[in-house]
Formats: sequence, structure tokens, C-alpha cells
Amino acid sequence: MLHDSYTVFWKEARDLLCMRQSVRATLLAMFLPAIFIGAFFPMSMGAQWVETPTSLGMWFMLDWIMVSGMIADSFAGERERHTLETLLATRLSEISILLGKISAAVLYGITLAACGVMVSLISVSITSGQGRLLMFPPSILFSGILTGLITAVTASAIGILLSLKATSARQVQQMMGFAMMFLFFIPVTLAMSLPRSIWQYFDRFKDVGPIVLAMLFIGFFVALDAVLFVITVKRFKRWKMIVE
Amino acid sequence: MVGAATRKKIMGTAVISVTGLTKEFKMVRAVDQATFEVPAGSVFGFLGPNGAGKTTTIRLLLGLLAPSAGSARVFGHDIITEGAAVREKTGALLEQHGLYERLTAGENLEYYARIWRMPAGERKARIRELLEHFGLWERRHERAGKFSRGMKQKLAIARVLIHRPKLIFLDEPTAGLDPVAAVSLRDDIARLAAEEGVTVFLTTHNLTEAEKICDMVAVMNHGKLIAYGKPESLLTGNGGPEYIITGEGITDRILAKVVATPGVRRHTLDGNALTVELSDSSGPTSVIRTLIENSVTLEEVQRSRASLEDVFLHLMEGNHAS
Repeated sequence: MLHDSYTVFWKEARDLLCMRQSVRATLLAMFLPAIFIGAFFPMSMGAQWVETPTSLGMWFMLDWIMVSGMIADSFAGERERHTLETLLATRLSEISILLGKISAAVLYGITLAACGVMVSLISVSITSGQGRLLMFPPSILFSGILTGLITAVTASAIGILLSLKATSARQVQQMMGFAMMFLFFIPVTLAMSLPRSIWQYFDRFKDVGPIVLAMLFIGFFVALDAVLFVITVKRFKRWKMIVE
Repeated sequence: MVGAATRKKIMGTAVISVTGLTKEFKMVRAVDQATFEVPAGSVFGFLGPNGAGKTTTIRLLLGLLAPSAGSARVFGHDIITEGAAVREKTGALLEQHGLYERLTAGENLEYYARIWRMPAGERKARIRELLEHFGLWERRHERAGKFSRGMKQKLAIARVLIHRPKLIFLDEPTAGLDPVAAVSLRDDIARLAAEEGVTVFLTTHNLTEAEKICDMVAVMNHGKLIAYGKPESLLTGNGGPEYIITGEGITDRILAKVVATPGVRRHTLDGNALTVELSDSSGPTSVIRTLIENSVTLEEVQRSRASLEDVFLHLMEGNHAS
């Protein structure tokens, strides 16, 4: 199964690199948003960027945006380009196709998010480092990497699930935008608009620290990913894909 | 409908055995009690108009859809419980060519060679062999999206063959091709079956094509199999053999005698040309004897062979009438 998943992964990677006229143009189009986002936020925040868990938000956002773009293409894109049925007529099992596509999207998301974070460290060091290279404390770095991984897996799982039914890759991208609002922006906006009395209730957790907070965040997404993955596996059946 | 005895007589080793295969989609019965066999090494033509159920039958045989009733075995594997084993041993070119247009011709083949776990060395050699065979080797680094439709179809067939399957499904492979490309592709298909012993399950609208390359044909309409057998048996079994007899002195009196001759089903007289349709394949001897005995000077006796297209249209008419 792993060998077959790697085969699907190989094709996804090739397909991604061939998205534009040349590999160089594709790489530029891929890394430009990561570089832009990676430079923009840290420069506006200064040294706080490395001292607070704010950077976790960037792991999340970059991962989500990058993975959304790729995962939308997985099944919906194959269906649009009429390659899906041919793929389903091969010896590959459903699970190996799923794993291949998810792992390609996850690796893509994490690579670009890591690139964005590195750019952020360089830019914040240039603007606020006073001649030295600024670095995250280990706890934030560790949480960031985990956040990146979890977000990429979650975005892939949601994207694949949406992609199974969607008629076009564009439709999946739009739905992924809504999912990001639902999972990230709406909770943050709601949290910010909570009355002071409710915030006071949370004061008792203020000594918990970033690691525990990150672990809670990660735990939530691990559970969510597990549920999504089970639904996706149940949903992704050859006959369903053909009939639909 | 073709009887079991007739089927048994024409079959050798069957690669595909289908019994009462039925597929229903809500209110539509796409395949209705289909029963047939496909002999090993043959080119099997699966004919029928649009929406007849041909593609659904292929999907069922590949284990991509579960039948509503009936059963089928491909290489002895049950399509319901052993779909993976069926797909392992077969190749399929479905309605769409299914090529990744952003990938090059070589990469498209490489992907499918990897899917079938071919070792790297064998993979390279096989890709080269197929691309050279189909005249695409020089363009192996070009993206498939830039190819003409004919080249895409050739590349898609190369992809189907990459892992040397013993059975391939080709769903209207020459549809939309120009005549030259279609003939070239048809020759390739015929060569495959003849030289490599590949069994070809071919659906097509092109009846001339089917007549030229198919060893066996089945005709489907509204999901039902309405004819099945060797092309020549269908040609003689539907409408009967026709002869055009040209001669001097065929009068109405002689024509009446011809009509009364046993075995004559239908006749038309156009000037000196008398066309008779016989009810069996015994030949026009008795008709010729009648004409000679009545002093007709015969100039020419010619068999007018019905084409598969005539048979197909005849079957479709019969099916609509029933």
C-alpha cells in the first residue's frame, strides 16, 4: 500500500511542478505567497513575532492556503479533466490513492509554511534583530511545527472530502475558504467580542502556558482529522465516484 | 437472442463469462440480463447505439460498478468480490482518454508503469518500445495536452498496454479521429490481438471497423443483448443471403415460378436484374435451375453481401418494433 501511495504522491508532485509553462515559473508562483506573507507580518510586529505564539497563526494560515489550492485539484480536478475514471480502473486501492494525494498536499503545505517561517525569521532579524539572528524559543518552535503539520492534515482531509463530491476544483477552493472562516476567523472574532466577564473566567488558565494551549489545539485537530479521515475512507468508493 | 447451444459452439476458452448481468440506476435498467462470453485472444466488438449500455457493461466488468443482478467472471475472477484482481490483469481506455495533459507523454506512461509496479529498467524499455511503436518517441518530452486527438488516443492505448495486460477494454477508441488516424489505430488493435494474443473488448459505433477487425460481435440495445456471434454468422443470420441474377427474358410468368421456388424469401426485379433473398445459406442453385429451365439467358450471378451496418440497422428496427 505504501508503495502505491508513493506512486500517487510521485504523480501529484510531477503534476504540481508542471502546473505552469516551466518548472521555474511554477516554483516562483508557489513560493511567492509564502515569501510575501512570511515577510509582511513579522516586519509589522517586530521582535514580538518570535517572543509570542502569534507565529502559530502564520503556520496555520500558510498551510491552509497552500494545501487548499493543491487538494482542490485532487479529485475534483481529476474529474474535471476526465482522468479520474481511468485512475479508478487501475489496480490501485482506494486507500492508497487517498494516502498518496493527502501526503502530497501535506508535504507541499508544510514545505511552503516552513519556507514562510524562515523568511519571517530573516525579515524580523533584519528589522528588529539589531545585528543578531532572532529565533523562536523551543516551545513555540515545536508548537509551530506541530501546528503546521496538523493544519496541513486537516486542510487535506477537509479538502479531499469536499473534492470527492465537488464538480470543479474552483468550487472546492471556495468551500475551503468558507471552512477557514468557520474554523479560524469566526472563532477568533467571536473570542475577541466576548464580554470581559467571560474573559475573566479564562484568567484562571493564564498560567497554563503556550505548550498546553498548543496541545489542546492540536488535540482538537487530531480528533477532527481522525473523524474526517474515517468519513473520507467510507465516502471514497469507486462505484460512488462513477455513479456521481 | 442467441441460444445457449449456438454460444457454446462458437466459444473456445472464455476470458470473460457473463451471465444475466443486470444494472439498474433508479428507474433505468442500463444493462438487462446480458449473457455472453469473450474467447481468449479475440477482438470482441460490442456494438450498440448511444445509451445502449455498452459503457456500463465495461464498468461492471472492471468492477467499477456493482451489478444489480447476475454475475460475471473475468479471468475467472468474480467482478463483485474480486474487482481488484480483475483490474490488476486488465487495461482500460474508457470514454475519455484519461491522460494527464500537464505531464509529458513519457511521464504519463511512467506513472501507469509505476502503478503496475514495473521495475525501473523494464519500465524504461517498455515506455520506449511503446512510444516507438506508436510513433511518439520523438515527442516523449512534450506535454500530452499539446498532442492532436489521434496522438492522444495512441498515447492512451500505449498506456493501456504498458503492463502487458492480456485483456484490454477499449471504449470507442476511434471516435472523433480522422479516417487516416482511425485506420492506423484499428490496424494497431488488430495487430495486438494477432501478434501478442491480447483479448480486445472493443465498443464502437463504427460498424465497418467492427466488421474488419472483430472475431466476435455482440449487439446491445436498451441494455439488452439482441445479437451475438461471429460477424459472418450475423451477416447470414439476419435477412439471409442475397443474390443478384442478371439475364435476358425474365417475364412475370417466370418470376412467379421463381417466387414459388423453395427457399426464396423476397425478390425484386429491376430491368434485367433479379434480386432474390434466400431464407437459408443453401445457395441459389434451385433459382438458377428454374430460370434456365424457362429459357432465361443468364449473364451474371452475384452474391450481394449485406454489411454489418445493414444487419445492425435491421436488428435495431426489429428491436424497436418489438
